[in-house]
Amino acid sequence: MSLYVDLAVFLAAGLAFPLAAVLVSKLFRRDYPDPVKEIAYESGVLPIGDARVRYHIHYYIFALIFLVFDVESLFLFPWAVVFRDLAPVLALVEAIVFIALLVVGLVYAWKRRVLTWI
Amino acid sequence: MVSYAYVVPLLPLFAFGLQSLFGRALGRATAWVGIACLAASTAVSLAVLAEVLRGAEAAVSWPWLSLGGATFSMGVRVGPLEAAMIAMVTFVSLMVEVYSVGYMAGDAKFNRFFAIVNLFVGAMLVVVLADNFLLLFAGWEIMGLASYLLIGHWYHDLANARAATKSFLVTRLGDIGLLIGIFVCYQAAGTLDFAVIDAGAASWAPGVATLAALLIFAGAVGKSAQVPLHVWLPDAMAGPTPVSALIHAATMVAAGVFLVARTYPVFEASGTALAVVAVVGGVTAFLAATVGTVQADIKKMLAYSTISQLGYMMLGLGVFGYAAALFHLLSHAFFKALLFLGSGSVIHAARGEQDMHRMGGLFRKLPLTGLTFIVGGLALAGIPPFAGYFSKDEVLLTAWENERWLFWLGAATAGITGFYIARGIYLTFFGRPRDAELYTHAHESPPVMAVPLVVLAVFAAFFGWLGSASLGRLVQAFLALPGEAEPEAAWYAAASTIALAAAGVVAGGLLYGAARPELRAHLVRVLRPVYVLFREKWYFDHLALGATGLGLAASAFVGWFDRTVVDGLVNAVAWFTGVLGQASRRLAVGDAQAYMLTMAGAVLVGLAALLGLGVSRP
Amino acid sequence: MYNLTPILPEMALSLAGLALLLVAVAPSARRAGVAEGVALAGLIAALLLLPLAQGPTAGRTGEVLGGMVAVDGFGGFFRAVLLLGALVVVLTGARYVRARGIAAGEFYALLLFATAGADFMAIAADLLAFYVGLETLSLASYALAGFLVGERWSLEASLKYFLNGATASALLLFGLSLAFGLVGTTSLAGMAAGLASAPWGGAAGALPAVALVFILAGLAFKASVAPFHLWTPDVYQGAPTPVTSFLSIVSKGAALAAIVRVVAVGLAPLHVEWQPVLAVLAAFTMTAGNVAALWQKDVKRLLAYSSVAQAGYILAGIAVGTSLGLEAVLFYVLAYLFMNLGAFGVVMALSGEGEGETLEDLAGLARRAPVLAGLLALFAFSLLGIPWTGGFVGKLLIFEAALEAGWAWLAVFIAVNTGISAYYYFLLIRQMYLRSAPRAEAVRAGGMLGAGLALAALGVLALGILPQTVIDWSGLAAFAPLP
Repeated sequence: MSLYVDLAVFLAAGLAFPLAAVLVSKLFRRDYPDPVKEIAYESGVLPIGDARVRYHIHYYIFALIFLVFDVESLFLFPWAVVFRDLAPVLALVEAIVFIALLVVGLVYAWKRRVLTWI
Repeated sequence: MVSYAYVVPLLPLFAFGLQSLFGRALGRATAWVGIACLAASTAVSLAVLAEVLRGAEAAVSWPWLSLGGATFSMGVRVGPLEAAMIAMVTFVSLMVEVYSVGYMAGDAKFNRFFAIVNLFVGAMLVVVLADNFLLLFAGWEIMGLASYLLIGHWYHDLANARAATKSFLVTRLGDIGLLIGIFVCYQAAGTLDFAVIDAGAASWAPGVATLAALLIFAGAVGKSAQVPLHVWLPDAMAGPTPVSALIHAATMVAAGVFLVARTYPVFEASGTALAVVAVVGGVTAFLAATVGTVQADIKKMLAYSTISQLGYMMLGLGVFGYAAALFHLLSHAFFKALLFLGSGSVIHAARGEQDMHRMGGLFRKLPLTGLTFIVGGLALAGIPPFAGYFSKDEVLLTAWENERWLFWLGAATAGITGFYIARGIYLTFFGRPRDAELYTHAHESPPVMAVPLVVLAVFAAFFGWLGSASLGRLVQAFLALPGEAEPEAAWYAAASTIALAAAGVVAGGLLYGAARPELRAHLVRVLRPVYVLFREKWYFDHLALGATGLGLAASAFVGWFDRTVVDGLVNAVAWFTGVLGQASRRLAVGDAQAYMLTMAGAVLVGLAALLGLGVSRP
Repeated sequence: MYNLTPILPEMALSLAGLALLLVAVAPSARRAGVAEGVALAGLIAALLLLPLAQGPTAGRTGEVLGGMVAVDGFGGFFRAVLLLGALVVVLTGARYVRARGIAAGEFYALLLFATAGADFMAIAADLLAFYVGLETLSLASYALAGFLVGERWSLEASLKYFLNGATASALLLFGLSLAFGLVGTTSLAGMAAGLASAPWGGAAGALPAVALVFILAGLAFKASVAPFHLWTPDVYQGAPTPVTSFLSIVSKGAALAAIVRVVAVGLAPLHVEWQPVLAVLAAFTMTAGNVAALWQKDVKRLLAYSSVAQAGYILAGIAVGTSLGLEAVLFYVLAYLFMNLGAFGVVMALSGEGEGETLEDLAGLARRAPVLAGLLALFAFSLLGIPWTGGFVGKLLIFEAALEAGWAWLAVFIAVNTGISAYYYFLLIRQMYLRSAPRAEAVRAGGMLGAGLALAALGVLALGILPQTVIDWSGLAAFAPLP
């Protein structure tokens, strides 16, 4: 039971901290709105049009391929960290097989012109 | 020879294989391949019968499948019942097949017809010889399938295809009963072997035996066209006439009677079941005979007569007249096949016309057909010394001993039978020709059709003598169960049957041969309610239609339920949950959300069932 | 280093799948032919590697790969069924794939990946391996269902399948996590042991039943068990026919194997609960499938409902809960493989030519293509359970199992359902044999399609006429994974 109490406390603290930060800044800042300040922040570039736009379905495949390689690095990083403790040749072969599998996918995506921006 | 009985069904099945694989190459010879195999099969059957007559018996069995506790085997068993049946089935089928060479000569699907006939005969022989329920059921199903294709043979007429479907579905109803009956036997006996079931049935709990017997009887009722599942048989006349002779006289419909005989110990173990068999048989015999009196179509008349005669057989079985019923089964096979083939010859001569009101006077044009048809008719009517007399008399005597009112019902039926067959004979063969064109073109059938008629006529005339008291009741003694008593000759019972049958024949003859048409019209007016009742077949078709309608309505309801209630429920849930419902509607992919909500509902029901109904565990 | 021998067939499949991806983008004029070749080679290699993977002694049981998969007769049998099923799908479907201009490389690649996933479901000894297999199969299937790009029904089928499948996966995962929470292990054997010794009482006593319901719901979806079957007709109708064929046997077969593995083995201590639930589901499924099939005008929809009903019969064998029941299930699945794939194969022989979608297209087939009509009749008879076909023996064994274990009402239900189903199977027969053909040109089925159909017909007949030989040869009786 005490485990759940801990969890609840953690949850409450986790919620309270950001809320408190926002609240404090709201309370103590000075509020002079003007149209330029109201513009959505896009890394300094002026936004054009509405934020809710339809973008190309291709973007989804980009995201997917990015994700695949993201996860690949996620796997390779711990592998590299403990590489010394593994049987070196075998570990290397395993990693190469792993990467080769992903390379086939990449080749396929490339040849299918998924990587071409439309 | 007797231990080689298993080749009897294999030969026609082999012929079926040859015919369906090489039908195109063989051409017209296809028919003769089938006939050759069937002739060989007949020869073997007769040899087997000869040996069994001398007291031989055989049982051969091969293990087929064994998994878990039970072993299923494929085997044949040959005793008097089987030997007599295979001899009759192969012989009559052979006659029919020879006849068909002439009858089907111009048919576009000539080869297919003969192939399926052989499949059908092979399956029937499997049913007869099977030593266990599994094999019997296998043959039973294949037979149903083959009959479906044969009845629907002339499918360019949509009504025929419909009749085939109807016959299949109605018999199917009975088959479900049979299958469940087999389950009950399996539960009770632990095996499907007839030998074990027969030996043990007497010691089953009475309720179990009754249940098993009644369920098996349901199968027999379906196949043997007993009330209330008889509605398919008259429609099944849509098939070519040889098919009617084969399926509806000698083989398939007899299979129902045979099934009861085969599992007779189970029936004997339950008095209730036998009583049901007797009453259903008696009622069927009477009802069908009355409907037969008003049929205009020559084949429909014979169809109702078949139902009626099968009723006699059931009646006989129900009143402990095992041997008598089987005797009638055999003699009926001969004279009814003869009558159907004779009617086929008439239809052939009349170029497809089946309405007896348009015939008349054909005896002069078709003397041979007429003569043999009259022999068959007299046998059917039970006029001595023709075959039907002896066997029907035997059945009725047994009824006299055991259940007096069923005797009178059967005797009355005999009178009606005499009436309608006399009517049929007069309308067809005598009087003035009512259709001049039909009459002018009528001609006697070719020899290939005539020979089977003559052969069958000989049997229809003389087969009964083998069962007569003066010759020592050979047939009954051969078929009788051990310890079965023969009915005592009660001369007054026999006399009243003969008198009624003769009166029927005379009445029919007078009314349709001598009396003027005005008198008949007058009679129809006077007896209008009865006439309508008969013409409407006691409204059984309406009943069946109603039942079918009910079934269709039920399944339509399920469909409607799926669409309306399930969807409606879903909509209600969607409405009730407001926002969630709106969100799920936005998916807008047809019914996908409904499917998901159904799944959710099912999960809830499952949870409620398991938790709510309190699966309490220690 | 783990010993990878037990999963050699799946590795072969995956390699072939990867190769197919390269084939798909290689500059080649005869891409479809090469793709078919690679797919067939992969499947045949997997089948040939199967004995090696199963090890020297058939029926040897052992968990390998860190307890992820079990090498036992049951898994071997199902793997053989699934691989054989995929093989027949490729053989019979190749013509359709070409005729409809389906991208062959990707198509076969996904088919092989899906088969590998199905294999893992059949041999899983751990919830993780099982779930990864399930998702591999599912995701590939969603894509496969939508392969007729540009055809509205195919896309709709794909989307419907995906949305419903995702829901079912969620239900399944919820159930699995509950089960994991109860026993603290993902191993199926460990789960059975844990549940057997778990305390039953209080509020927590209900949790195993809750887990069971959710797990069953997820698996029932995959196996098209009513009332989780509603997607089946839509998807079967809309998907490319080879995919339909694949879903009806490989996907469904894997789901049924998983029901045995996860429910009958992993949740074995809960058999008091799942036996009646499965029995009711079985009865409901066969009835729902058969009654709905009566009204179908579209051949693929009709076969879809027929396959729902078939799943009901198989489920009945599992519900019985005896080893005989399980043997009956294995036999039935094998028979079902041949008869259902055969039926779809004939449909593909027609639909490759742009017909065969509705019952009307079958009219008079006996005149136009006597061999095809005869084969479809054979497969329909087997599905119906006409004697001397595999379906008959399968039903016989299920009857026997149900009666011996005292489930008489279930046997009666199957008997009545068989009676109902006769109507629509005979509708097929009637169309082919008792109707005149609207057109005259013959339909041909040679080459790979012919080989696939011949294989299916041979299987149906062998199982029907010589069942004992098949049982002895496959050692089926020794395959039960029950504890």
